[in-house]
Amino acid sequence: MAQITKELVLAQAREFGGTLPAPARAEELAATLNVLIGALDQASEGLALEAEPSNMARALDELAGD
Amino acid sequence: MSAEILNASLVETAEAIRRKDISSVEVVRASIARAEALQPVLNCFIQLLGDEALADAKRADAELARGELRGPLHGVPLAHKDMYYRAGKRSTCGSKIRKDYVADHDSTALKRLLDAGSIYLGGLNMAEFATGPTGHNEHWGDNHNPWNPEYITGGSSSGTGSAVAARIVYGGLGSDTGGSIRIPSSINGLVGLKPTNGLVSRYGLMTLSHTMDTVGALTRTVHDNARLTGIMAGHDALDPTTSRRVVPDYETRLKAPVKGLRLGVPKNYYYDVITPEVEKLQQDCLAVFRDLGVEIVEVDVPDMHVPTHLSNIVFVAEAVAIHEKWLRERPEDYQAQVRSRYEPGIYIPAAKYLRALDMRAKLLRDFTETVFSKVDVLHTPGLSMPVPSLADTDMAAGQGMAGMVAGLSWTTRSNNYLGIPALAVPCGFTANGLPAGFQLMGRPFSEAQLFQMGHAYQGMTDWHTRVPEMSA
Repeated sequence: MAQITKELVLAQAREFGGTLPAPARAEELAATLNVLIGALDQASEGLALEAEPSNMARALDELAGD
Repeated sequence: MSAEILNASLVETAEAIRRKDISSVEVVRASIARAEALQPVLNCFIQLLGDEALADAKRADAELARGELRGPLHGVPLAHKDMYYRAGKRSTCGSKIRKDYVADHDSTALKRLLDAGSIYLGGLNMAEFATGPTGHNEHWGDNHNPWNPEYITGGSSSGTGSAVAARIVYGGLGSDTGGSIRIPSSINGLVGLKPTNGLVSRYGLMTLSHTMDTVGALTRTVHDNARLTGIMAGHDALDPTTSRRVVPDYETRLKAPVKGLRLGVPKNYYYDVITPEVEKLQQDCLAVFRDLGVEIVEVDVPDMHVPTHLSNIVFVAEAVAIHEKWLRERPEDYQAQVRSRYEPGIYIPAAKYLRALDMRAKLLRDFTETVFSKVDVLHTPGLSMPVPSLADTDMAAGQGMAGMVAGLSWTTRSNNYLGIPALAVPCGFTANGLPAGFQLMGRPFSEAQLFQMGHAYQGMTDWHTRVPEMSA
């Protein structure tokens, strides 16, 4: 996926409304998001998106230690 | 006399009231007196409801005189993070935006505690909207630690940590989305449970992250916590995400032997940022378990940066969904520190949020297979560092805040993403005179085993009986 940039953050912030981040803050936000998304992309690489809402509850149940 | 009453444990006090050795009115009067005396120092209450509590205590004593016992908390005063709804009553969530919010329904967890006979002493201070690990609050004033008021209480269940440690009340509700029960437990020398996701109903409280929020109690002893958790746990038709599993009798299982159980010590991640002083306390703690006949086993854990990062994606996306309207229309009514925590969620692509949610089950299975195929319970530090001061952590939204948040929640944040339970237990004091703690983690729904291990540890140590000087 393309990197999130300061420009993208600022453009989206103008659409969202509320407090507009200063350029330095927008750059910091973009950097933070790219770290998070990079970790996600790496962890999920090659895995199909199952989008099965019950997966987590079923996993908790199946792995239970009570 | 007041100190003697309030320094007893919750279970001891409930038994004393039931036996009529002491009345609920005496206990509640002592609680109110201490709350009023310490409020100027600790600022742990947002709403102290002394008259209401005293009226309820009189009713509780009258019922007992007629032979009526409501339940295992009959007549015991508790106070709770000010985000648990009571129909027709105010619930501020530690915020300016909801300072006059009146709920139209009851929190299930709170209602179960009240139905068991507890007395509601008031709503406790907290981080604004349950967001923040330190206890700073610009709207209602900062929370202060009873071991030294210059130091933080931790957060976001700050007032609960402060009020229970100061022996104002015997326990209280917190909430935990990334460490908000366990961090103030470690910092105030308390026991705190982040339960398995789905064990305790979240109906009737202010949501922060609807897939990761959990409800639990802060107490002084593991036994007290087992009692409160046992009362609250179990399916709730009003919260369909709650499990239908049968809730074990946690109190009965406390006395099961721990000899021969395998306690894991992580080789990677959890000790990466620990200070030598806190590490020494962890080693002392492990020695106690060894003396109990527990087998100590070093284990590799998966890379915990991954669930931590993914939990941050889920957290900011869900928090912005809740706060969107207010962030657009009245951003100045948030503390800068809190607003800046939600801000990244405005820019997270929906596909990434859904992907992060989808990865939870896989990472939970990986973690469980890697760790709990080798050990029964994992032992980690609670906080990686000595408790910092209020001044050292007062950063508003400035440089360094993200690092400070990450440091305080280093050992806690991934549990909420993985959904597994974790029990914080006190294990001593650092040189600054502030408490330190450890965590026990287990498989989903293994709270009984965590309580069993924590209770065995408290049977061999006296950290939980130490009392802050201001409450002695």
